[in-house]
Amino acid sequence: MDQALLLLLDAANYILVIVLVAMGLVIVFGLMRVINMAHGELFLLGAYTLVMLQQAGVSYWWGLIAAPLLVGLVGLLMEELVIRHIYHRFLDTILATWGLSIAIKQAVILLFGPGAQSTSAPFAAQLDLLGTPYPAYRLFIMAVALLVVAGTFYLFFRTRFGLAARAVIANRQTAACLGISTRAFDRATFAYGAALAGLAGAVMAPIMSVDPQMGLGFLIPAFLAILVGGAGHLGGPVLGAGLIGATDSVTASLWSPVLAQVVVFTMAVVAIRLFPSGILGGGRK
Amino acid sequence: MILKIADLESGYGGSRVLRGIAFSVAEGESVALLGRNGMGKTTLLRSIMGLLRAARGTIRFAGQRIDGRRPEQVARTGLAFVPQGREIFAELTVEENLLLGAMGAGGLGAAVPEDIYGRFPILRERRAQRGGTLSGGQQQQLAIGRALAGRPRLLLLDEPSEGLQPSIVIEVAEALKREAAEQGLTLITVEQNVDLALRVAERCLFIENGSIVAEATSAELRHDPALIHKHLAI
Repeated sequence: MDQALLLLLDAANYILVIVLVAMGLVIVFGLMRVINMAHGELFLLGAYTLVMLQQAGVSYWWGLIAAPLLVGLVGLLMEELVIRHIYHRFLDTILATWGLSIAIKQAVILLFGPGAQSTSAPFAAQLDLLGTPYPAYRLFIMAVALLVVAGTFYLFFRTRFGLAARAVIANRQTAACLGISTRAFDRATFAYGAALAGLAGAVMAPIMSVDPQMGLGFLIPAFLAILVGGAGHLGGPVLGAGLIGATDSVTASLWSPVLAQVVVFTMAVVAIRLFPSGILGGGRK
Repeated sequence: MILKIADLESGYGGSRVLRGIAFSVAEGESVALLGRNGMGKTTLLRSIMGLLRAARGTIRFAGQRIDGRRPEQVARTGLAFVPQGREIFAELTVEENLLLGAMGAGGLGAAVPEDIYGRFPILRERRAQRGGTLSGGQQQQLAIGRALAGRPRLLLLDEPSEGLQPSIVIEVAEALKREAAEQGLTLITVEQNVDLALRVAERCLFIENGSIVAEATSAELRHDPALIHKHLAI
């Protein structure tokens, strides 16, 4: 029973963070048809923002606020300087964002070195859950992720901003003809997607080793989650991350992490075979 | 003159579809563009709207040049476009579709003008329904209502009668005429359906191989349809 509860919590933790990362990818893909290969490095930048600020003596809480803002700004610059010039050339965007990911990673290595950095959680308390001790910080991560995922759904499905963004996603040209500034929405959503990745990086940093390769470990499951769940709806990455994350966590804890990788990829292949555009569909044709 | 086009050349890729188009439309006037398929009617509307960049020539709207501007900028100067095939947002509700028309012109806080529902009562009835579930005629009303929700001064319509029953074509034509008369709206309608064109427009321009080759008032054409046969008959 204790084992099962721990497993459930760890799986939920992993799933929620993957959802944060995958959501940013899906929003950007939906709006601009750009697959952002540098999304993992935005996660990385979020974690290193926290490292940098904590090393400078700034408290964790300021780091948590600064990371999404700073990484959102990086996203804005990426969009303005690179993406907007090539977003209608699909393959070039993959190459360009891949190049950006390498550049960001190397810049981090130059500044901080290739080794792992450590950050500390703002509290180290253990909570007693039905007789099992569980780190309170992990529950905090889940709460933050849940809040942000719910907030993102609210933003896209309950506000005027979201309505206009969905119109641009559904039919860019028609939205433009109505007077909706597609450029403004490209900028805003790219920055928002980047900020989500930055927040995910910062909130995860205290429970993992922060090194220049950490982005990939979240980018790949996020991509798998989108492939499995579908890129046409915000619910796609949530469903996909749920399936991928649950399978990964359960297999890893019952057998081994290596087998978990095999099972997850096999599952993704089967899911893509059965649902070529994801379980919830790919949206715009 | 609210719209003044001079020496306009435009097209797709290297090919020129429009070859020196020139005409003017007065404020409050209703003009129809007639011509066979592939003569450049849709290309002309798309060039005015900024969806296609003009290779040569100028387009002036209310005194300012709008050629070279992006569609959203053109829309904000007071133009609206009802494209061929209507292009309503099928997944969004009727009300959301109308709201987007209002928001495009008036910003995120804009509201749907009440008179849109007055003019198209079926849209009020179906306001919570998804756009994709409407019939063809209702979708056309929605597309026109959405364009009008932004309070444009000039409305461009591409084949509004396409795929509609004759009785609904008349209904659409009457709604457009009333709107134009009451709001002082200027209309440019591209049509294959001569009946609708003559009903809505006071003046018809005939377009052939990317140029305007003739023009006549609707009254003249009703009395003497020879021009219609000459330019439209196959």
